[in-house]
Amino acid sequence: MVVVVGGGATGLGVAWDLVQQGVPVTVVEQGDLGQGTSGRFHGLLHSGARYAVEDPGTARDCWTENQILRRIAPGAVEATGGYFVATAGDAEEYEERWLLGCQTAGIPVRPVPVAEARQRVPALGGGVRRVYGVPDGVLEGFSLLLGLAKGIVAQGGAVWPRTRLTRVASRAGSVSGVELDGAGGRRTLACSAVVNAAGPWAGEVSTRFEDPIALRLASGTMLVFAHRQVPLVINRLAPPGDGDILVPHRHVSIFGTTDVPVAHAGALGATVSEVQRLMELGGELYPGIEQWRVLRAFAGIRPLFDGGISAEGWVSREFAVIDHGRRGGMAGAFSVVGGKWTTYRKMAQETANAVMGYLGIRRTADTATLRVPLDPGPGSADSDATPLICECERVSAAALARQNGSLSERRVATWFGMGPCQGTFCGDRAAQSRARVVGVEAAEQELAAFRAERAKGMVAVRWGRNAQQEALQQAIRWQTLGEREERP
Amino acid sequence: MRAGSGSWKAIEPVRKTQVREGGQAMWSDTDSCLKCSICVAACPVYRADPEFLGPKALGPDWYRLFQQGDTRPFAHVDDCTFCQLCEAACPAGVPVAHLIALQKSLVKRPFRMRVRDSVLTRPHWVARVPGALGLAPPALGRALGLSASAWRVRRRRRPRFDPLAAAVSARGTVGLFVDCFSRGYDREAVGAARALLEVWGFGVREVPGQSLCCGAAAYASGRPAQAGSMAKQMAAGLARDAQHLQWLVTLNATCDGTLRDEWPRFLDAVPVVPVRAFDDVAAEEAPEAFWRRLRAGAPHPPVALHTTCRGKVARGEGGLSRLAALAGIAAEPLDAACCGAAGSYAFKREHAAIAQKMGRKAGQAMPAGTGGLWVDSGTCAVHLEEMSGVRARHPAVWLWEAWQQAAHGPATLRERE
Amino acid sequence: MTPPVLVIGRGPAGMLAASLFCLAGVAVDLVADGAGTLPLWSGAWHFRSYDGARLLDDPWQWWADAEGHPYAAWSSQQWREGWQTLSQVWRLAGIPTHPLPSRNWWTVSAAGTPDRAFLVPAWQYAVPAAEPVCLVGFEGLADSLADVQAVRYSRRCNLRAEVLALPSPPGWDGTWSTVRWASYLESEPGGAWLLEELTRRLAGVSDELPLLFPQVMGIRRVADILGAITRSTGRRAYEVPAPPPALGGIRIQEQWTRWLLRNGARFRSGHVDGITEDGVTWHHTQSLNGAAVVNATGGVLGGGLAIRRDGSLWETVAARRLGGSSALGQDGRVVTAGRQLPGCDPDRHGDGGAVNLASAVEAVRGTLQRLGWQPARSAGEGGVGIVESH
Ligand SMILES: Cc1cc2nc3c(=O)[nH]c(=O)nc-3n(C[C@H](O)[C@H](O)[C@H](O)COP(=O)(O)OP(=O)(O)OC[C@H]3O[C@@H](n4cnc5c(N)ncnc54)[C@H](O)[C@@H]3O)c2cc1C
Ligand SMILES: Cc1cc2nc3c(=O)[nH]c(=O)nc-3n(C[C@H](O)[C@H](O)[C@H](O)COP(=O)(O)OP(=O)(O)OC[C@H]3O[C@@H](n4cnc5c(N)ncnc54)[C@H](O)[C@@H]3O)c2cc1C
Ligand code: SF4
Ligand code: SF4
Repeated sequence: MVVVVGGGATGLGVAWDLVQQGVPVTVVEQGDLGQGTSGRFHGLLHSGARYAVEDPGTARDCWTENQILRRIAPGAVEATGGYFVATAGDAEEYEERWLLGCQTAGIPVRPVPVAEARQRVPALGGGVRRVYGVPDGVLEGFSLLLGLAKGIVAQGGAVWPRTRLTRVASRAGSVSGVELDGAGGRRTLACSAVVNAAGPWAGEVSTRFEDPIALRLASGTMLVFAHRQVPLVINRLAPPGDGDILVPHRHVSIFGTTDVPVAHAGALGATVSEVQRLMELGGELYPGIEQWRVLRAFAGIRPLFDGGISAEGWVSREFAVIDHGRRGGMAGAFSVVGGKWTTYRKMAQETANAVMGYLGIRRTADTATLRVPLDPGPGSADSDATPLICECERVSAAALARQNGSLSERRVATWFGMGPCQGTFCGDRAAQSRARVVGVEAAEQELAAFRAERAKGMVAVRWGRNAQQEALQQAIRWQTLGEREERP
Repeated sequence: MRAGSGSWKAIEPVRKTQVREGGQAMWSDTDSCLKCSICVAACPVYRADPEFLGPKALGPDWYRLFQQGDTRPFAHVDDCTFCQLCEAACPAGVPVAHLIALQKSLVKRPFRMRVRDSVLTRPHWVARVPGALGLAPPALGRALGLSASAWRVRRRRRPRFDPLAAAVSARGTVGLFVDCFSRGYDREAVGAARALLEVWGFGVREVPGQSLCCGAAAYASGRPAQAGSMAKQMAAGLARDAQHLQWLVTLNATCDGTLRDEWPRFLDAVPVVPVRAFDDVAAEEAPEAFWRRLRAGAPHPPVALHTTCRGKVARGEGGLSRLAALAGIAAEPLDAACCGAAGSYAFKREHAAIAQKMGRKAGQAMPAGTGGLWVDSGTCAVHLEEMSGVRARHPAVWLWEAWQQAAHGPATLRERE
Repeated sequence: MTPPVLVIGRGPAGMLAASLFCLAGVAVDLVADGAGTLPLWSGAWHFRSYDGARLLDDPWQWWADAEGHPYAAWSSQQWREGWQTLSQVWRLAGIPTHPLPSRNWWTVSAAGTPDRAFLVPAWQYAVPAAEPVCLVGFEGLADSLADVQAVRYSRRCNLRAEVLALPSPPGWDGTWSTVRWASYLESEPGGAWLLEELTRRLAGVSDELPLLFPQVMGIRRVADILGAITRSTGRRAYEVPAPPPALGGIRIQEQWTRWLLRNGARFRSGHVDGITEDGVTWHHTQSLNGAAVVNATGGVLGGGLAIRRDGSLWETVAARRLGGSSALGQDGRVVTAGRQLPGCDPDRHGDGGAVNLASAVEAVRGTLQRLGWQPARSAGEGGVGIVESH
């Protein structure tokens, strides 16, 4: 039995790989699936071009994996394509290095006439000097996570959300079991290997292997706009920096990011100053951005492995698989750190290889050719004979009822509450139907958690129309629905 | 109804028309929707037509999908009358009705319907040969998808009076904007308005000199591009014919709103001189003596007033009451949001049932003992008269008749000078 | 000719101010760029019904020792007359209300929890003391699940709440909003369907309980529909609010607008962008003359206040940073009414109605005084006048 710590892309990827090889696995996730960085990322299926200059290894990996993901998870990928856009202010010298880097990594790049680009993307301002097309795409992270989890369980593995790894037991220097703290209380589980895929928490988890690893944590803030403002991914053709990527994600657009060092993995939440900075940076490429209705802001934490700092101070997005037994820690303990969402499969494969080497098992299945079982995406069943609960994302009562878990989990699976009204109208509707199942009190607690989560995303973007939306939401809650919780 | 509505945007006014997307105008505030449903509360069709999804679903909700690349129109989008009451109610400045018009432009229609709509969206063609409609056999109309209402439209002639010989006058010359419907079918209103303006001391020129259309009908039928080119043609026509006039007087509330509101914001055109609606001109420019005379005239039976939906949107409501009060005529506003005529809407067969339903409701709202109905749009007047049996005319016609009664004929025209 | 008084905004505050001008015989124009917030709420006016999380029973008590509130100085006599005025204006406009209470009525919120309100439209459930009730729900109306509301009600009130579940009507589909429900129920087949289903299923419900329906019982014909239910079932029948589009507010808005029009008020559509010596500027360049201006543009939701990206609060009509909106009225020519007043948070305090009322009355009285106009009390209209100051 192998225990995988972390229900993000990497952890689920490792477990998916292992079950294919016939290795029994249990994934433990301290919160809900995707509550770490995998649920708080930009949504970009990298072509690799973003890293062509600073991080050639990652660039190559991204391009290979990009092509693989299109094959094995077509339902979770939207092949929008992407542009790299240089403005008059961006250095031409960098452009040359970038073209060369892409060529080296094998990433196909196509020059796009500026007029054509502006026709396709009216949001681009007048200062555009040069545009290239690259095979970027959009990655529907949650669909893929849920698909992987479903696949793991179908193959006899286990996925335990809301279960935290608290201790690793060893016998004679080798992993012998884990101690878990979950909904049902504390429990132990015997196992012969543990994989630490805890993302930003990997440093903390590694301390349980008696071989701590050092991670650099940096928070990246992203802004969500209510509508899809661009039809494809837009990158700025300049050295990677803040506010250089705009991703159209389903109906919304996500703009980011920033890079602010943080002390610990729990430091989630977008700050007003980062949001303001993003708006200013955005204005350079998208003159109309001030007018775009913003929806919310969120932040994800990058766990960058300190092993990979380059001469230019750029921390590589390359990943590392650490075999703690070989470094003097517990045998049978592995950590996987760094990397990208786009490269999760490759990371998982290499991690699984290391684990299987330790267990003496041979690889029999190749995840690069194996389809991930995906549910039809959210919103695909919108006209059944039940009332519409969420009008923005067109989620019916039946669609909501088909999902499992709390309101927040159903939100992730169906996108209910994620549209322009941010739960103003659908929140209570959904809680009422939930109350029929779990009782009024439990449903109200779920509603409170749902509201708190939604509110968190709105605090840093309280201006213009979004402030109007918030005022409406307050009036509906306090005056129409008579909610009476103590308020700050 | 505003550019850059009640938010910080208002501080730096923005025009709705900002960027062009594949030749299609893109507007600001298309993503501003708060999902409050105030627009749904304001939509008259939503109440009458159980199939109609309503402005929120058809406007901002649909547009969000459209931006994601799903260009399929929703069912029954054509049932929207383009009255714009939804848009006027919205607290977030969402161009709801215009988004719906954009959606209508994506509907695939059968050939016959396209033929019919090419005609209906060019009312200036019809106005050139107003008799043609009556000559065609009704069977042909049915085949083309015209409703029976289209056949009941009768031409009304200019009232008999001798216009003052010269159009030179103490207060200068103004343009009387002759809209397509009035040009073809309601010479009565044109004549009455002209006579009144002359009585008030203005020289009058009817413009544009040839039959052109402001684009309102085309826009309402989901042909924004065609509306744009028609508006530009009309603007050029006005630039030619109206350049030296003080201002234009409009008789039709829809055309009035189109010239003043739609042109600059959505159609990239501007009228060459200021545009004023007939009732504003009457209230603000007619000499006090005129009103005294009317008030002293024979008592008039009480009337009902219908401000058409586009009039409500562009200017508001209550202007007709003010006129009636000045004239000393007891008046009651008709309790109806939109009568269902909506330009050529009621002339389309697929809309006949809804238009009738809305019109009947308006007819039922007619107060007892009403001696007539004042309506600031020719097509609405026809529809309401059909639905209620009460004589419906443009206020200019009513005022002119009252004036003639009070002053016994054209002799007094000269007396005033 | 003296220009009319300009009221900017046609939300509840603007409508009330305009009504008072009409009754005083003063010409008034309502200038607005949107419909205002009435279609968002049931129309029951709050009079300090809660304070933070606490439900308040007796607003008089609260106002008696209020300090630092813009209307702290209002005597109970002024309040009484103010409420009387509003309910009379509504009566003239054909909007029936429950009689004015001496304390807040008990009402029920859209979620089924007990709530407090003062002036309540007659169609809405309101009683002096909470009592056992029967909540009626329609299958498919996801905003009001009667069984869930009933649990909430009895949990908070410790009183019995029975449930009567009705099916969804023929032709229903998942997109039906409250307006669609109301249009159907006030159609002839809709009314017949309702009565038939009711009589078929009523047997299980205890005799004496009032029937509380969701707020979808027609648009114009609510009184007829509730009356017919009472006649055929022998029970009291009322509505409880539902989220927007809210039929209560829609009914009030339509009736009230019509009354204002009949009484000579003029509605003008357009966005006001500035206040000048002679009135306002609107449509970006044009001007509109007014003898005085009442600024009833609402709060952040209504458009009167805007929050800019840097977090500063702006007065949109005067396009200036807000140092308290009283800054606008320094020359006395512009007064503010409604949601926009500093220090008032209807969400937190449940006194949006009271603040609308007091501010509109004060705005009108102040304006008339400044212009030196005597309110022309029109006995024929039922003796409604402007509240005298004390
Ligand atoms: C701002 C930002 C934007 C990004 N954008 C992109 C992008 O557009 N495209 C792309 O390819 N990549 C992107 N990335 C990178 C990518 O998101 C991450 O590399 C990837 O999500 C990491 O996944 P993970 O599974 O390793 O970590 P996580 O998703 O963080 O998973 C770790 C999980 O472990 C759980 N856990 C921690 N401790 C314990 C414990 N003791 N017991 C049980 N469970 C525990 C956590 O709750 C968490 O769910 C972005 C990263 C950031 C920060
Ligand atoms: C969901 C909800 C529930 C509520 N429930 C209750 C309740 O139960 N009891 C209660 O007492 N109160 C309730 N309220 C009322 C609320 O508390 C406020 O008192 C009320 O909404 C404010 O009304 P108002 O007239 O000040 O402004 P609004 O109704 O916001 O109207 C503002 C008006 O000003 C216009 N405007 C704004 N800016 C401009 C401009 N620049 N130019 C032209 N026009 C402009 C707008 O178009 C609009 O017509 C509720 C409100 C909401 C939204
Ligand atoms: S379009 Fe306007 S009125 Fe309609 S729901 Fe959206 S914000 Fe409200
Ligand atoms: S334009 Fe008129 S008919 Fe069309 S959706 Fe808006 S309110 Fe309804």
